[in-house]
Amino acid sequence: MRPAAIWFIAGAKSEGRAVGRRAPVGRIRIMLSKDDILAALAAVPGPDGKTPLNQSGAIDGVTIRDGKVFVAIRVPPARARELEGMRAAVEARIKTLPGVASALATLTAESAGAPAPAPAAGGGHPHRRTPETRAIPGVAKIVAVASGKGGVGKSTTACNLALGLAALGLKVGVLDADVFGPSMPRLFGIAGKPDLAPDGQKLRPMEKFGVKVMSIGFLVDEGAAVVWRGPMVMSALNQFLREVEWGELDVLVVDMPPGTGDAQLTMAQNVPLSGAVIVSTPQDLSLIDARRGMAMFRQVNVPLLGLVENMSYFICPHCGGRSDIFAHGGARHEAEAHGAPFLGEIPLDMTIRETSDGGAPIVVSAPASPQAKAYLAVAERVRDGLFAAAAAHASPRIVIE
Amino acid sequence: MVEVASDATPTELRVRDGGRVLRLTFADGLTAEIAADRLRAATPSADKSEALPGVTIVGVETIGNYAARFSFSDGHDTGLYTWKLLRELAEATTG
Repeated sequence: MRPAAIWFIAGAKSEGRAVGRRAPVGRIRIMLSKDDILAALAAVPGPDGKTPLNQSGAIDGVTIRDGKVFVAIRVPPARARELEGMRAAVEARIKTLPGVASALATLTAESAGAPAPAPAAGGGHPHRRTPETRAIPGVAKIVAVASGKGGVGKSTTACNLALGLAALGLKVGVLDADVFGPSMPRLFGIAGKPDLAPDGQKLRPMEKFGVKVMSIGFLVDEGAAVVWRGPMVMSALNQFLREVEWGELDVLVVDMPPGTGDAQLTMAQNVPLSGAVIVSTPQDLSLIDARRGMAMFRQVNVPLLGLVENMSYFICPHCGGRSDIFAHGGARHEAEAHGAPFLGEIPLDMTIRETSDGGAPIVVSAPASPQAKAYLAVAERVRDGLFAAAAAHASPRIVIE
Repeated sequence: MVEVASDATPTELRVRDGGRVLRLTFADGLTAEIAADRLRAATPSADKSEALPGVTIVGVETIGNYAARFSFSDGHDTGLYTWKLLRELAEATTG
C-alpha cells in the first residue's frame, strides 16, 4: 500500500518559524497490542460457527507491524474453502480498529503437508507484492555522490558533475538528498517552489541549465531548519525518488548527505544505485571517512565509480605559485589502494567558490576554463564507468510460478 | 575499471510450487531449491517470531543491489536476505 502523496507546499511557507510545526511527511500511529486484536476477534465466530474465535484455539499467530496486522488461523484443510467467510470477517473486524492501516488474515493448514491456502486477494493489503526491482521508471542510471565527511565540496562537485554530464549530451536530473543542508537551490541559483504535476500527485522538478533539480530547499525557506528523525528523512527521500515527475533521464545524480546513516541506507535499499562517486579532500582526516563511505557502498553492493580529489591544490592568483593546502594526491593513493578508479583532481579555486555561491556553476558559466575542464574530465570518466557498470550489475530475474 | 560485482548475485529467484519452494540460480551454474520454511527459519531479521507450519512465500522484492526481501504467508517480511546469505543457503542445500 503506497502512502498517499502528502506534499507540503502549502504548509512550507514557514513565516520565520521552523517547519516542524506541521509534520509534513509521515503519520502518527496508535500503538496496537496483540491483546487488542484478540479482544476484537471475540466478535467473530470461530471455525465451529459459534465459539468466539479468540477462544476457539484456532488463532495461530498475530503479528502487528507499523499498523499492519497479520492473523494466521489454523483450520482443517478440507474446510478452507467454506471458512473463507470467517477469514474475510476477521479482516473486516480488524480494519475497524483505530490505528490499523491494513489487515491480512490467512488460513493455514492443520495437517503437515497439506497446502496452505494462499492469502485471498482483496482488501488491497500490502503483503502480496508483485515482483519488482523498484527502479524508477524512465530513469536509466542513478549515481550517488557521497563523502564520508561534510565540507569537502561534495555538493559543488555533484552540481558541476551533473552539468558536465549534461554537457556530454545526457539528460540529467539532480536529487538533493541532503535534507538537513540542502545546497542545490543556491548552487543552481533556483528560487521559487515546484508545481504539482497535472495528475495532482507528483511534484514537477525545477529546471535550470537543462538539468532537472529537486531539493527540500525548494519547499522550506533557506533560513529554516529541517529538524527530523530518521524515518522522516527516509519518507522524504522516497517521495523525492518516486513522487517527483523526473520524466526520461539518462542519469539521476544524487547529492548525498555526509556520513553513512539513514539517508544513505534508504538510497541503497530503495533504488538500484548504478554507482557511487566519493568526494574527498587530500588530507588524511577526510580520507579516513572517505574509506568508510567506500566500505558502506561495498557492503550494499553498489559499484564504486571512483574518487574525486577536491581542493586538490591551490594556485595563488597573485604570484602563480602552487600550495598543496590539504596535501596532494591522497585520494589518488586511496583509490589505488582500494582498486577503485581515480576520477580527477579539482583545484581549490576562488572562481569555483564564487560561481557556486553565485548560482552560476563554473561548468556553465565558464565552460572553457581549466576548472570547468577538470569537472568535465570527471564527468566523462563517470559516464564511461556507468555504462561499463551496466553489464556487470544485473539484478536477478524474479519469477513467481 | 569498475569494481567487479560479487559473484554471489543470483541470476534468478524463482518461486515455485505455490510459494513452497524457492529456486535459486547463480551465474556459475549453481542451482538449488530451498523450502519456504527453511528460508523462513534462516531469516536474518531480528524479528524471528512465530513461524507457522506450512508457511509459503507470497512476495519477493529486490533491495538495492545486494539483497532480496521475501514476504511469507505468516506476515513475516522484515528479513533482508543478502546475495551472500542466499548463496550460502544454496550451497548448504546442494551439500
